[in-house]
Amino acid sequence: MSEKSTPLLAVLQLLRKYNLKSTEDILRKEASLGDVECESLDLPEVELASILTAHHTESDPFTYELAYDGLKKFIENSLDLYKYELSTLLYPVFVHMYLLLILYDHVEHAVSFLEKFGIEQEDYYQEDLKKLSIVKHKDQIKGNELAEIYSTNKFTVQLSRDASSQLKRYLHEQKNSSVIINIINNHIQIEVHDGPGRTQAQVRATAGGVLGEPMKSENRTKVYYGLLKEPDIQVLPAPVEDEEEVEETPDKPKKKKAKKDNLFMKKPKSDPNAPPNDRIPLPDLKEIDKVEKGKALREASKRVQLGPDSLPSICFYTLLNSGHTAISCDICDDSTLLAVGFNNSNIKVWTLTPIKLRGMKSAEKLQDIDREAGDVLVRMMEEKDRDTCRNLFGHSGPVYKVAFDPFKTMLLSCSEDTTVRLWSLQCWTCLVVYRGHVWPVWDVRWSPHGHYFASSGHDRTARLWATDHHLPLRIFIGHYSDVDCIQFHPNSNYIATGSSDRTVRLWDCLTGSQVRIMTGHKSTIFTLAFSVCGRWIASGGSGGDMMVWDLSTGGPAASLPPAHTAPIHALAFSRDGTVLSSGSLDCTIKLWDFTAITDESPIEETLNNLIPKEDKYLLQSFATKSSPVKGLHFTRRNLLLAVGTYESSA
Amino acid sequence: MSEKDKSKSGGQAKHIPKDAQVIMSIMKEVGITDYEPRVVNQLLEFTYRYVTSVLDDARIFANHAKKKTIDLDDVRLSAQMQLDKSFTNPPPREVLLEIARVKNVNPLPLIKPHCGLRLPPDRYCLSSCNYKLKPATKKVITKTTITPSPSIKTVTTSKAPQQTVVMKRPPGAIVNVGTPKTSLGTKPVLKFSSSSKVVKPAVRVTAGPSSQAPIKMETDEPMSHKRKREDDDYDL
Repeated sequence: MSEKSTPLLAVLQLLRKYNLKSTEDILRKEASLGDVECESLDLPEVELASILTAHHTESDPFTYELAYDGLKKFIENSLDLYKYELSTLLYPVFVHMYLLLILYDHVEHAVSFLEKFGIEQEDYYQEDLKKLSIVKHKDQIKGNELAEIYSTNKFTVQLSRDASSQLKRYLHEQKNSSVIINIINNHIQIEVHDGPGRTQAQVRATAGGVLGEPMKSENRTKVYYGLLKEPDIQVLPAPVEDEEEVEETPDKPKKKKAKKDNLFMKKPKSDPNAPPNDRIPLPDLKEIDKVEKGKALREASKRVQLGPDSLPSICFYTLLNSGHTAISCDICDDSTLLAVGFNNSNIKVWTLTPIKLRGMKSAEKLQDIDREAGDVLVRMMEEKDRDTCRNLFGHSGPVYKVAFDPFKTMLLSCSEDTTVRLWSLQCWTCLVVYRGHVWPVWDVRWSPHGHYFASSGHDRTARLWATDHHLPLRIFIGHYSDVDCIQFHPNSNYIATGSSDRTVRLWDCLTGSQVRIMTGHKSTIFTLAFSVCGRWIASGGSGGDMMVWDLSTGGPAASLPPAHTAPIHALAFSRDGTVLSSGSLDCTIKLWDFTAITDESPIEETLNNLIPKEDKYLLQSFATKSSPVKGLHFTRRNLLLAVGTYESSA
Repeated sequence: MSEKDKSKSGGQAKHIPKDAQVIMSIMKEVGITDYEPRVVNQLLEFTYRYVTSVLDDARIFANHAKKKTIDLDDVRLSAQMQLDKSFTNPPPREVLLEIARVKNVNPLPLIKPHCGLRLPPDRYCLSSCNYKLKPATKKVITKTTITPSPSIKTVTTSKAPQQTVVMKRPPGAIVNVGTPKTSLGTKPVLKFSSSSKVVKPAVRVTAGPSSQAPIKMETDEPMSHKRKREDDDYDL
């Protein structure tokens, strides 16, 4: 016979594992399985266990359909309190039934099972089901990424205590059909939580991750989401009087003078949620950086206060003739430079002010300049070598992300050619090539304090690098699929990643371990943004859905109503943290009221409130003619800059 | 897809050949609905190439095993080899977790105070001097006189032409003046400086076609506390 019985092959694999050679030979002879060259099942342990426990039902594929149908009916007939939570159980049971049918070679039954019950599954799982439906033979299970994920890991389902007891009672009644019990034992992790059953909205808010919802234990670590204490910066020739930041020694709070707005009214006592300044080594500020910071503070003092009544003005930079070539863009912190990465592996840097970009002098000329002069940094630039646009050549694949460092001296870019390159903005050449990812790198970001940067790629890892090490310092493993976007926390201690497995994870730079996992997105996550205070993170996905998470608990703070119709590729918070802007490929920019979103006061259930809370979040929507929005950036004075490409085709 | 698509070459304009229809149905099954018509042709070509190479390899394996016909195992083996050559998957999660565990245990390195850019050691940077090969010349090679210095040895030849200038730089003479630079030398002046290590670069110099004057060579005394960069000779 050409098809070998699955349970027997499973037993063979088990025997091989325990090195029972003679038993194996006897079994082969008796079962007439042929010579040693026959292939054996190459399955992970969990699948083996499930085959061996369920072998007596293998011959009867009809039981699967009946069992699933029975479970579905039971769930539909249960009380609303339990219904929505229990319905999250249907999808993993369905998937594993399908895989089991394939494993036992009941392909036609499997296909009909898939057709019958596949369309009833949630819409965010349909794409995954399409990928699974390619698997039509047990040999194909190993090659299929999704099937492997499901067969090696347990799907987590959260149930309230009452719901789980209902489920147990139902399963107990199903003594003759042990299929579901076996599936639950082997492949599904049921976590029981105390509390009432969740509503449909609550369940939907956190459903969508590739392996279900996170377990409570995964979100329990303490996260220091506060901001670092700022060093003492004297802002000298300022129109405002001296503003002193909170000093590093928390002994005595300095009296504040001339407060323009809440920015400088820092809490004199230390924030319990802020990490100590030396938790991770951070570079000291050089003299010139302190001058820059002083300038930044002065600009910040002049900025416009934003809110629902005072929306920002938007300045849109359109890249012409680049509809299908410009991929990514970045604007530096003081909003004077714009960098764009192209799919022909170029990078172009433009200046957004009348000041032109200068190159550095040659070596002989550099020897002649006076190093002690105050403006040595100006003198070292070549006067004749100025241009409004500079080209950077070096990559050999599309450039997926460009990022300016906080001090405007270097540029990082990552590309499909698996490298991350560091460029100098003074010599306009490439300085270092960081090799480590062996697959395309999707995102690269600088730490807000400079020196560190993080990259994420197709190999499901995110890495933390420092500019002076050619190997990564930390590798963050945990995602089940490509890591599409990465972002540093404002205090540089944490990194958030978003991935194609529809989860957002927060990692600790100090230990490299995962501290938070947040599910709820229904599609791949393309962009992340931390709030200015560091407590919240906003994420935008490929279905146009946006979510805001609270880092202290790891739960969703708000699920914004679906407004965008195309993938969101840009998110930016205003400098005072009151307005969140989102830009998407549907050519619109939307402004959201972030203070209302994170407003923790209870909703007044008055009948006068005709507008539900969710609709108050969206402040305004701006549409461009046909320019998908690729980047958003708030200047220090709260002017919103947007970058997009003009798609001339209708 | 096992039949060869002879019909592709002789396809009439109106009828779509059977293999192309198969490709279109595959795309529909995977969920792709929006594609240019040329994509079907490209996929057909790729499939043809792939299948023939797999079958060729299978025949070689069958011959090696002294079999008369190609067997299922041969095809399986050759498909596997093809797959390993062209497509690799990212490492499995367990391997990655193991690597991460080892790597993440090391504490983050402290940041040393340093002026200028913080870059990895020079051999990982692209901050080396640029080389350029100059085309050979027919001119008479001038003998250059050099002040004898322990660190430089020059060899001049009177051979004609088909030689190119190769300038070697003493290793370790990379400069970090704060930021690396690209050099734009207009005069063909060669500066050689030696680092504190004694090195003996061998230099062969031939005069360039545009040399207005014999090439001057200057040497600097080794300076241990400062490392100098030298200019390249660029033909402009």
